[in-house]
Amino acid sequence: MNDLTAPNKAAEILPQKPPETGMFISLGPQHPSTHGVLRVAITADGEMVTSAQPDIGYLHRATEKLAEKRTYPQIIVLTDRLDYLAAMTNNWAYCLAVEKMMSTPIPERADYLRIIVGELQRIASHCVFLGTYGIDIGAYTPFLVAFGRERERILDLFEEICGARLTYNYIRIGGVMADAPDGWEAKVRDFVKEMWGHLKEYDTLLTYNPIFMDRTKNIGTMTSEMAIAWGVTGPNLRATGFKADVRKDDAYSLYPKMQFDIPVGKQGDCWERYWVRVQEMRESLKMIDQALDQIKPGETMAKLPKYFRVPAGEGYGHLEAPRGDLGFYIISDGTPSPYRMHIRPPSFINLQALQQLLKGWKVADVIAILGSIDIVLGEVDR
Amino acid sequence: MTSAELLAAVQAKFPDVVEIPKTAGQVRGDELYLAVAPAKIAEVCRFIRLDPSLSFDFLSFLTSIDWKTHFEVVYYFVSTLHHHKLVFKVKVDDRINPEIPSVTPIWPAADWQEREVFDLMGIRFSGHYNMRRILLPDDWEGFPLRKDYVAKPDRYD
Repeated sequence: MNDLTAPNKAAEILPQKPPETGMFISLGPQHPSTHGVLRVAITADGEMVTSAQPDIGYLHRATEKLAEKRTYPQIIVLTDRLDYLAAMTNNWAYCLAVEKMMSTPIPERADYLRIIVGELQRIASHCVFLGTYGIDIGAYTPFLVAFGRERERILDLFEEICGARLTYNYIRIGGVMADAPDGWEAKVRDFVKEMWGHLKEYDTLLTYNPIFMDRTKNIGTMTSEMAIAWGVTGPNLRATGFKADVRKDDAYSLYPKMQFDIPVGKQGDCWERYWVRVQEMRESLKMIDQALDQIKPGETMAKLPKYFRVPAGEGYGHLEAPRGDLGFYIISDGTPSPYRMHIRPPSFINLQALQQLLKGWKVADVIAILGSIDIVLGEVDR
Repeated sequence: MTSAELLAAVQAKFPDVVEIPKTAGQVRGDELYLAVAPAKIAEVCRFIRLDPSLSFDFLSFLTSIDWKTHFEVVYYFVSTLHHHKLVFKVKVDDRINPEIPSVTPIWPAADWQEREVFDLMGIRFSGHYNMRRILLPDDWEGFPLRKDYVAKPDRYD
């Protein structure tokens, strides 16, 4: 990481003008494998990709501008709509930033509930990745299993705790919206027990499936230096063999009390990016179990006035979302709404590495590489 | 390195870089905030990236603020080697034609983030290889995140 020649390399790896010759392929914006509305302008020399330029912005909703007109609690619903596959962690990241600026202490039970729903959300989000990545590669069954069965179970649990299945607005400034209903914790425990078996099933269905491995092993490799230079975070960075996780490096909430490992890959190819996510689901299950062991009855919301103001100043709160390092940088001028709010979106920053990542690989590998980055266009375009 | 050591290391090379102290009543993280002159930013960034004791190899995010009288560009750096953090703030006074040097040749991570700042705030980054709009259509008029931006009503309003 302290490779001092890296900046010069960085200048070299920046994409140059697309070559005049060769074939031009426009992938998307409506394509089943782009997971939303994303267009990638690709030039190819024969079967080899010579340049790739993602074209984004189809889903831009000006979240940062909208936030300037709303009060602090009203912004939580906007964060739901960024990474809509992991709305819980979005709520949480935003609340972390605001709580940091107000120095609000969070009740212990609320923190444990946040860890439980946050880790369940990570599993649900990785289940979507598993299912859709399988479809990208040509395996249909994992979609029915991971997306249609396990993720539904988690959404049922979320529906029971907060009433919503996709945009939760559950984690609030100072705590959580409501305590878990009676018997909810036992249901989560049942799910965790069941999920360990399902993970073994995924290994036989997809992880060690020879056809899947042929399509993804040694494809789209990324070095740690390259990932760090492009600002890549989350499972994509860990797959390169670099141990980095906000939950350990810049611990928030009660994560210092949790025992868990950071799974890392070796060479950062598509298969390892997939494998790291499956391992992360195992670590999440461990953490949910520990949180359920340690959680005690108590308050779930800090004592905050109904209309509060955030002291003038600035603050940055970030956490490990399923797709990487998600952060909120907020500037307050003491009025009920923020003066400026900036989102550090992991998907947006991970996606820009695609410009270099696709270069030199076959056209047939483009979908495998694009799918393995695991982007959500709602977060890319904001 | 602690904040005081970081400040000393940067100031030894660039004496005109000053610390931005916390204002009264403000709660902000333990990061060190430094004010850097716009003309110097590329040079200072190259130094903090290359210096072995600093080695800020990770540009976490880059953003901009419109303070009505001037713009401010904010850089948030992390060193994955030493695990220390640093925030740079660059004041851009020219509101008509704001421009500062790009850091994309040092961190490719700045590539799209600088384009986003240009797209929404209208600050140009000189030396960027591909300075054009990224989220909005190419023919969009104005820069929406500026405080004096007036949204044109469309057929949905």
